[in-house]
Amino acid sequence: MLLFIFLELVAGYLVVKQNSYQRYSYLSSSNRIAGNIYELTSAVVEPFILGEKVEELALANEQLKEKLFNYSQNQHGISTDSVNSPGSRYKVTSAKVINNSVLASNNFLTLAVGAKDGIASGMGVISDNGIVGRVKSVSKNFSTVYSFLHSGISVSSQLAKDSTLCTTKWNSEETHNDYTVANLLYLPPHVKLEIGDSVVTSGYNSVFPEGIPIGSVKTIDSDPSKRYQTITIDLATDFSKLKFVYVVKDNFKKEIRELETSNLTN
Amino acid sequence: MQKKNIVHYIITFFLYLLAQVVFFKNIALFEVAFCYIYLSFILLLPVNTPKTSLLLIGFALGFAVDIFYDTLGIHAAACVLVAFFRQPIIKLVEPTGGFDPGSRPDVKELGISKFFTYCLIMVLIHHFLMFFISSSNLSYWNWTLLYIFASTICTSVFIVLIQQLKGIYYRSRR
Repeated sequence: MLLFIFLELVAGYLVVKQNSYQRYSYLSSSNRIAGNIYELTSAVVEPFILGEKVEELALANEQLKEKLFNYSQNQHGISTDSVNSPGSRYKVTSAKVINNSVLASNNFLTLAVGAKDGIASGMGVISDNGIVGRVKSVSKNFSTVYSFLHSGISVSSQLAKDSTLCTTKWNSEETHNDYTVANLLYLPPHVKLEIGDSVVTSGYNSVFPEGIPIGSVKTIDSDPSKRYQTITIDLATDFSKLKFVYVVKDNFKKEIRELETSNLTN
Repeated sequence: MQKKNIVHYIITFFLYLLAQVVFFKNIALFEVAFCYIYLSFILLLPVNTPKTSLLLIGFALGFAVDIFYDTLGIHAAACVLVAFFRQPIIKLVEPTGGFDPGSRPDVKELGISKFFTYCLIMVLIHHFLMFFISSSNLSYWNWTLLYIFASTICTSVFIVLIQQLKGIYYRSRR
């Protein structure tokens, strides 16, 4: 009886403290054994004729995306002058998805890239179509990623047409774990929206670069008595078919973070 | 004999774990019915397994599954609960005359209908705790209940099916 209570308490503690174990990759699917098993099974399941070609394409895309993000950064004038330019802002790494879930209320992915490829906790993950998630924990060869389909993830976003800021969040309970839709939060009634308007990342939280597609508006319910409109969007990424993704490293993240915290303390 | 048994159980432990995370993790009938086949390891331990071992084995198995599912603690909690209720539930389905010492509460010992009942109750306990912990919002309890009942049936049917297949296999070898 005592042992029962003790073990339940241990388990309960683990559930509650989930997020403080991010550093311990051996407690997640990115540990060596789990990662290797998932990698092996995904290799068996994957049609191997396509494998190599797809990988080549992913690599080409990786370089293109890197160029594109850095180009748009320069366009916006965020990058400093060439003398003390810290180099390009975003580093993109392509990665193979070896484990993915979409039907739980908190979903995760496992990628076959890890610390040795320069991946670190907190980096953004995107696909060719849109956002995917954020890196949770990393081992040498593997990493576990919070899918966007996770109750703890919300993405700072904007409307593509007029840059109105908002937040996108997947609400598993309300949509009954539907992995194709999400909610758009904090848009006051005066913001005019149309069905089909596209929503992209704002780039404000240093996880995703600016302008990565998130989805397009599906339904609008603007009740003037409420503070915010109730909006659902169709997600741009098909989470059930993720094979290759890109991990995006923001080289300025630390600097931005430091500046922001120093502003807070002053 | 005892030593051979322990090795046998350790191998079965990892086989169920592997089957769960490689194969059954991807099963979701109608997107509501999930299959947690690994539970049959706890279900099929010998009847006279001490309570302490049951709880520890339950915790270890749940914890291992949690690592693969990235759900730290959830399966562990549910498995410990199942392990805790195992002995009283076995009492309910005990055949007349009691169990032979060292036997397992399987189809051969209980008969198919009693074994299925035993399965359903145990799996229901597990799924009840697991789905309610993992659903972050209790206001959609009716959906959680749907997941629980659909998955309970799915898991139980798979457990019984695998038992039956094993039975057929052993009979054909004789």
